[in-house]
Amino acid sequence: MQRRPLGKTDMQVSRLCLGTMTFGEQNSEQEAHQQLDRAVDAGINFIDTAEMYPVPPKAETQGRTEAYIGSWLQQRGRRDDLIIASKAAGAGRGMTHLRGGPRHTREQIHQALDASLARLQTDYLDLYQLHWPDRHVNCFGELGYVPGDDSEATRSRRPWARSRKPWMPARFAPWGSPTTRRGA
Amino acid sequence: MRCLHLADTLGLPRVASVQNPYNLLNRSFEVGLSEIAHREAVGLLAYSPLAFGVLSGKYLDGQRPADGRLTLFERFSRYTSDIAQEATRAYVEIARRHDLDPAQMALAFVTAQPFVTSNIIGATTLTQLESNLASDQLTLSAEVMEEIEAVHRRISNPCP
Repeated sequence: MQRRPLGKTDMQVSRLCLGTMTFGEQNSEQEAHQQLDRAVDAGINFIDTAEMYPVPPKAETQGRTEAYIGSWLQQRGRRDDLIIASKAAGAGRGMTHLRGGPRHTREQIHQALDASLARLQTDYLDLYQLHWPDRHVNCFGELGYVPGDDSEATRSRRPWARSRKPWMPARFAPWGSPTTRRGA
Repeated sequence: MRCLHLADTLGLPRVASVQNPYNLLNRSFEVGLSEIAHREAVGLLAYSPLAFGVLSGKYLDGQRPADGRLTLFERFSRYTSDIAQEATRAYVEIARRHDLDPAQMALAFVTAQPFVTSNIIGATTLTQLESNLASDQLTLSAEVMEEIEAVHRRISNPCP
């Protein structure tokens, strides 16, 4: 399977990536492992997950997807063959089961990353993504941005101003976030 | 853009990718972001390339297969409006006319886009996974692409 460069990083990802949001809801751990084995066998080296998975997001199932990938990684080994992407949830989707309401603050991103790494049974992610912006945006079919409808953004701008972390997308950045290789 | 500028000028970690929905029913990425993907080398990781399975055609005409996500979870209504169904039917008919599997055609369309770094496939069965994987071998003909564009011009982005 053809591989393509991931941004300007030195990583090459297969042009098909295995999505995992069904693992832990519509798919059992065994089924998840079968899918992962088959995908890798077919040439996929790129696996995408998120802390909030599986979908639909629920407190009682949150983290199962990463845990199923983690148990597979533990059995399989050869972590370095794989490009693993996960995501930190942002504000405004009612997910109070994540840190009392997720925000993209430095502290929360560190907490989210550590928890994801523990579930995945690995010590690094290749790609870490902001699951959605920490501000009011159009999503899930909304059209016509309404500046007045901005209550979420009003709340979410303050932590940015305080954190002064220019590497975090404060205004115009897309959903992807910088590559994270812990310890590198 | 601001984040990329700061990363490039200050030597900070750089955004590597964007994960937005992209499929035959929602090609809005092409309008404003495809150029940025190209110029800034921030490619698309295409989310929902089958529009939650809708582009397979399995939900057309009110069908609700028992194990389908849209059957199980009614909250997912993004891809099932009347206009979405009309567009879906048109894409499925293109596939049938050309002896293609509708889901594989939809996936091959996404994978072929120059701004796509990787196409995020998902499956709940190994049969679906095999079909999705096989889409990697499929190159759509110019004729199929033109028919797809004709539907897109008529019903642009019914599920933004």
